[in-house]
Amino acid sequence: MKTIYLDQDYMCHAADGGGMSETKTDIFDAVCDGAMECYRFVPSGGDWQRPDGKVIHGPFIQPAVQVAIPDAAQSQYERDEAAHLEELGALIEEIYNEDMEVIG
Amino acid sequence: MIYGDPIILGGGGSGGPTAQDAILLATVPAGSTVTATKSGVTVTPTLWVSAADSSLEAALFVFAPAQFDSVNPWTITATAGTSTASTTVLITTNKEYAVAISYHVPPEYQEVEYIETTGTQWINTGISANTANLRTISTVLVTSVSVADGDSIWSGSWDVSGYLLNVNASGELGWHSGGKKVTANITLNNWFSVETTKQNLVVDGTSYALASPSGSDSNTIVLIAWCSSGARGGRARARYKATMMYSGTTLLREFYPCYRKSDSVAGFWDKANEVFYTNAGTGTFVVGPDL
Repeated sequence: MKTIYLDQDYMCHAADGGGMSETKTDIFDAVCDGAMECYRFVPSGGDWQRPDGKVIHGPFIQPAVQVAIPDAAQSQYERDEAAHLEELGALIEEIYNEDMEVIG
Repeated sequence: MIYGDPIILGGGGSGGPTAQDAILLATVPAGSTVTATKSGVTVTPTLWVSAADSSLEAALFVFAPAQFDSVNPWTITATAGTSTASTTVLITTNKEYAVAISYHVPPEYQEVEYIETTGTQWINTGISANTANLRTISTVLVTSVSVADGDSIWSGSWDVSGYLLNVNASGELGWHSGGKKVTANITLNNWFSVETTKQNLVVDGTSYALASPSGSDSNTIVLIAWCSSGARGGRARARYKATMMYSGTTLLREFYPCYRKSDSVAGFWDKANEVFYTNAGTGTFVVGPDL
């Protein structure tokens, strides 16, 4: 469950930029903040009027930009996470080997 | 997104500069742009049939005398986002031509590029896995997998010698049918086309045959879900474009991702039976961009 902040146009934000409404959702649990902030999330009970006058009723979730943008952000995040885990693994192995030398 | 190739639609009047012929770009969505080009000439028609017409939108262009000559062919191209469809025609008569644009969904619905499950949504197709010569076709993108054994893309059941297409975190696609299994590799976060029959898996055009599958599965096929001992549950986080189900050559379901305009509820419109299928699980589908 993630806490997100919605502006007046129901755009998602990771932090309250002022006057935003706080909501909790599991929709973006596996989604990084950069990708999440590309989405519009109209929660249940909410209505959002599009610029063309059409009304979107919540619950409704849709990318507000070309979907390639959040996808690229998410892919970069996953690559960074994988690299971080690899570094962490190498560090643990190094410490283990050092300890074994001391013990040995 | 444009599906399929454009085709020429006959019709219209004949003879005279005011008669019309129609050129159908068969499955081009509303919002497309259409151009007609030939050597040194480009015509950009404007839409002239309103979206209120439930089945058809069209673009009309008139060949002015300066454009009507013996130089052929013309290329009619429609563009929607990054997708294009085009057809080549010979214009041999000076008259008006209409480019017709058909819809996948009625005007009460908004077609979208895809619907995406966040892990708890699924669609019950109502089609038995025991349907004779069942064939299921879709274009899918898997964003993440939640369990090591793999999440379902579609299934009748998990726990009998039945019908299950799943994918694991390594991108191994597994087709379980009649007690047999065959695998293919896909790349997570990349679109792939997939077709399954009792005896075969086809991924991006490459076929993988199962050796003598047997057994039966009387569960109904669900998209985006697994089944165990009759219990259903969604798990895959994946996107689905148009999805078709056949019995042999008989079309059973023709699903297009969309949302209902009146309440913004997302699901699949079944064009074959004119039925709207909504989430049979919990939570809310994410929808792709409007088409």
